Amino acid sequence: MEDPSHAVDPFDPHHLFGHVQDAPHFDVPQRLAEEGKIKVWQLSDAFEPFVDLQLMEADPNWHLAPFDLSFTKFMLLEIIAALFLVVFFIPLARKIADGSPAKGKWANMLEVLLVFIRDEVARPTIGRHDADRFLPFLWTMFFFVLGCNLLGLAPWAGSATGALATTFTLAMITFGMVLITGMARQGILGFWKALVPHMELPFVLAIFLIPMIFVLELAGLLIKHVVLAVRLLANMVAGHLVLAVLLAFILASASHIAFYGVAPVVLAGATALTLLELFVAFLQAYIFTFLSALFIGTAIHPH
Amino acid sequence: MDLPMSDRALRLTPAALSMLLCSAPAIGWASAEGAGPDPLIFDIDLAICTAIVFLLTLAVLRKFAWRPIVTGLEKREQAIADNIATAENAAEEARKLTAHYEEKLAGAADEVRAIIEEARRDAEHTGQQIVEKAHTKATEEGNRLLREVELAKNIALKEISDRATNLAVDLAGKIVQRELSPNDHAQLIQSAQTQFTRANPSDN
Repeated sequence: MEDPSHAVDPFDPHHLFGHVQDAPHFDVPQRLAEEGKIKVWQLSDAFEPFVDLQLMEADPNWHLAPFDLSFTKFMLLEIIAALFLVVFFIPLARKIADGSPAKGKWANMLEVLLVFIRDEVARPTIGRHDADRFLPFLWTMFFFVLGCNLLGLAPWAGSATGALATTFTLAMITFGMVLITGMARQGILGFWKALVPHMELPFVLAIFLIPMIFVLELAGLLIKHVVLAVRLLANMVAGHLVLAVLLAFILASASHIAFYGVAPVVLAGATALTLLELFVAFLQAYIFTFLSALFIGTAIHPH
Repeated sequence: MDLPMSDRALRLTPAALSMLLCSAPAIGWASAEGAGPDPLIFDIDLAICTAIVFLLTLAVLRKFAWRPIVTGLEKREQAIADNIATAENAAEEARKLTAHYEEKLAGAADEVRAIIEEARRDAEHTGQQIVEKAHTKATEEGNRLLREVELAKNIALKEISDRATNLAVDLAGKIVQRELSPNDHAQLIQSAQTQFTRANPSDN
């Protein structure tokens, strides 16, 4: 329990979002660190922000954080997730590279996930023939997103996928993959031409309709990748926010007799929601990977 | 069309875009008026870091993990398929061999039965032949003995008749050569009798 005099309003959005969003520090119990914050080591404090902070504060519609070379919690967590992948999969690769079966629970579990992505995601969406070329990309995407999602369930850590910068970048990497593979397969012009479905139109109508449809389809292509980013972001942020709000009830009732009723209920609810979050972590990693594979498949086989 | 759902989704995306564009200022206002936190804040540093970390991870894992895993899985699949094929071939071979040997076994039983049957027939035949031969031989021997007895009897009878004839002739000659007194007569008869008796001492 925190000292009520020391705590801010537990339902203050800044406070709630502070637990979900990126920061240059980790939030830990106040007994462990001064003000409950462990600062992330910084490259350089002397770097001047590239984007003027005052300008950004003056324009609230601008959702950009400054480019200031700050090293944040989510960056560290991304690196940890990447290191987990390296530590898990390189030894597994060593074991099964010669065609011998995976031995042990851990190796088998990892392999089940790998084979699931291959057989249930990549091959049905991209096609048996081309799928295996995209497996490295899809496997990295799935496990990276999954790793970031799952780190959000670790105490005092956070989900790097709860920041738009992360999910948007991953979605744009998928978008780049779609563009490159699509243009490599159908030719640079062919790829853009394939965006417009083939229609039997009179010439006069075609002059107007086809450019319009092209613009719409182009917007659609962009939007479906942006939505890919927003879906993952919304799921991770919402899940963690709900947990934060729920736990804030304990804080709110801390100096009240209702605490003894509220705390157990909230704790049970938060436990159930954490289990749901565990499921969502896997589900969203799967959906992100599945849709990436689907977009790549569409780029390769336009019809 | 192959994917009507995704096509419909594609058609709906312009609407989604316009909604998103309309809602963006609202989010902005909210953060301006209430000075609340911005869930859509975009940190360029984090974006660059994400791109670097992801692409680096992809490159490292692609070389040291994913490629070996893909080849390993393919090798294993191939090995399993090969093993199954080999096992199926072996099973087929075994089935064929079993059928072959069963056929052979059934043939052998038949053969044994035929051999025994034949042996029995042979034995019966041989036995019968032996009996027949013995019978014939015995009959022949009997007949031969009978014939010999007959022959001996005939010879004896002939001899008897010859000797009797000779005696009669001798007697008649003697009678004719001499005038016989009654004395002589008796004497003659007596000598003839003696002679006869001497010639056939035991043959009476």
